[in-house]
Amino acid sequence: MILTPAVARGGDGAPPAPVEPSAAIAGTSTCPTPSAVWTEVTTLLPHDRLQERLRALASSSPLVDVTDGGATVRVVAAGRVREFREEARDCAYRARVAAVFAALTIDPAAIIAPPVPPVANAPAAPPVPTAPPPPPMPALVRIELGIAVDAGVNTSTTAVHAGGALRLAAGRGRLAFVAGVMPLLPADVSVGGVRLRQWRLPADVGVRGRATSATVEAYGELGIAVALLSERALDLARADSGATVELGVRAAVGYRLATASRFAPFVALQAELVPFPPAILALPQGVAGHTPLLWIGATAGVSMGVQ
Amino acid sequence: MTLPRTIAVLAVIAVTAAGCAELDVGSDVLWTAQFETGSFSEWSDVGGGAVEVFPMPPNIAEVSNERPHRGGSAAKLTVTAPSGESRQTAQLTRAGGLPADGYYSAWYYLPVSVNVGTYWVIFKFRTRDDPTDASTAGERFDLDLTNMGTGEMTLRLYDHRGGGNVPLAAADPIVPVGSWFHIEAHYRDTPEGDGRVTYWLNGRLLVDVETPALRTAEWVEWDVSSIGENLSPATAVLYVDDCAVSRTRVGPTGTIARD
Repeated sequence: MILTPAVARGGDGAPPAPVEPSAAIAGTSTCPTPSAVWTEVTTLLPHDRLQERLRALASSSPLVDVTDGGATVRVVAAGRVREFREEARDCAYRARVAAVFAALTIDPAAIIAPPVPPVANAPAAPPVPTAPPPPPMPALVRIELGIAVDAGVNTSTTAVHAGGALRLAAGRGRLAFVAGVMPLLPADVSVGGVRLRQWRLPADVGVRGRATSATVEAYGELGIAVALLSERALDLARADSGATVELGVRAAVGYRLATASRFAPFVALQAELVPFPPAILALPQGVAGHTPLLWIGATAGVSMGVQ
Repeated sequence: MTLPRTIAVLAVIAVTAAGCAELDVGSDVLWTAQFETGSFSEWSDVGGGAVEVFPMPPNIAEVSNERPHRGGSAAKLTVTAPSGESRQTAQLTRAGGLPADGYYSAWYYLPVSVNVGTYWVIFKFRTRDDPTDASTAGERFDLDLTNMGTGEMTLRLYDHRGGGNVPLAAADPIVPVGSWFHIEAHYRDTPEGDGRVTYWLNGRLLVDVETPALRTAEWVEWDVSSIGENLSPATAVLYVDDCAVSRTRVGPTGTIARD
């Protein structure tokens, strides 16, 4: 069987005549027949493309020759020989295999990279459901910076201090280590009739327990507080100053917005109990009184998460 | 020592230290005399301070350990003022250098009851028109020991300017015999003429009177004294201790010095 691209060209302005199958594929094979091979070739290559390539490859002899060797099939295409074994003599199968060889010869590019059907004609693929993103990992460390007020509640006049607050919470779990310092500005107070300028620098360490919802993190803290306390008399005849250290227990509650950003606002309320507040000595009163037993305050600011 | 035990010990020490913390912020006490030096140096070593005894003998001023109020010593002022004799004086005085607005206080001990024939001044203020001229000095207020009709001892305030006794807020306050009692006066004399004197006996108000300023030089003399005339028994002993001048009230429970 010999396949010859005998091309009949049309006259001026007329479309070219189609290439006949027998002119492209020929041979004596009956399994598969040249026409069966041709039919398979036309399924592999678009009609126009096939005609164009056959006209481009036009020669005096058929392009493909198919020979039935009994248990084998021999395909000669453009001078290249392909032979494959097929003992079952499945002619349709043989035709498909021989057609591949023929198509590779006629239009190798089309076979290697078949044209992609137009997307517009393809049915729209259903959207692939995507898994929800994993929840963001809690920050390992939170640094909180804010402004604070702290009031001692058992002096003759309530001592209200304003200042700053710096806290650090470390840990991703429900419990975290927490430490903080709260530099406060001096305030004038009266203890037992003795007017004093009071300055206080409290610091604390403790544990923070927290519960987080989609929008807010609520937390509570419990720890040990230590404060540097300085008192200076304002209007005694001999005005001295003294400093000491207070020890106490601190508790706090707070809320922080759960934002996607590293930064989030927070507010907190804190209380500190000083079981043994220092005594204020001034003559002639002697022990004029004690510094506050209880300190209550509030803090507001920004929390920054660090992974 | 294990780490937990070390931490526990340190915590106990810290809490104990914190519990004992005291902040000494100063004092309104300007001057004291406690006689613990065994002398009158607290009086005599300051400007305008003196111990005045006349005539001597028989009158005596001495530091004694017989009956201290606090500590180990007190001043013992002894005068002998029999009937018919002139004024007998044993006094501790500070003249000048004192606040025109201040609290003056002292503790007294009267071992026996004394019948006062004429007067017995134990607490006295004087002023000057011209601080630099002693001749302009004038007496202002005398706090005297005297007797009630029942024989108990009491106090009266004599106003030299007014020339008479000032009615007391609490009539006939009883002065204890055989126990320490505290007398304190707030003396306030100002150029604005809003002066005032207030006296307390053992913390109870004795008298509170306005005193329009006559002396604008703000010069004050304060005497803790035993100035008597016509006393019976003639020899009268008065112990004095823990004298103080302060900008704020001391009171019987006040502290005039650190222990």
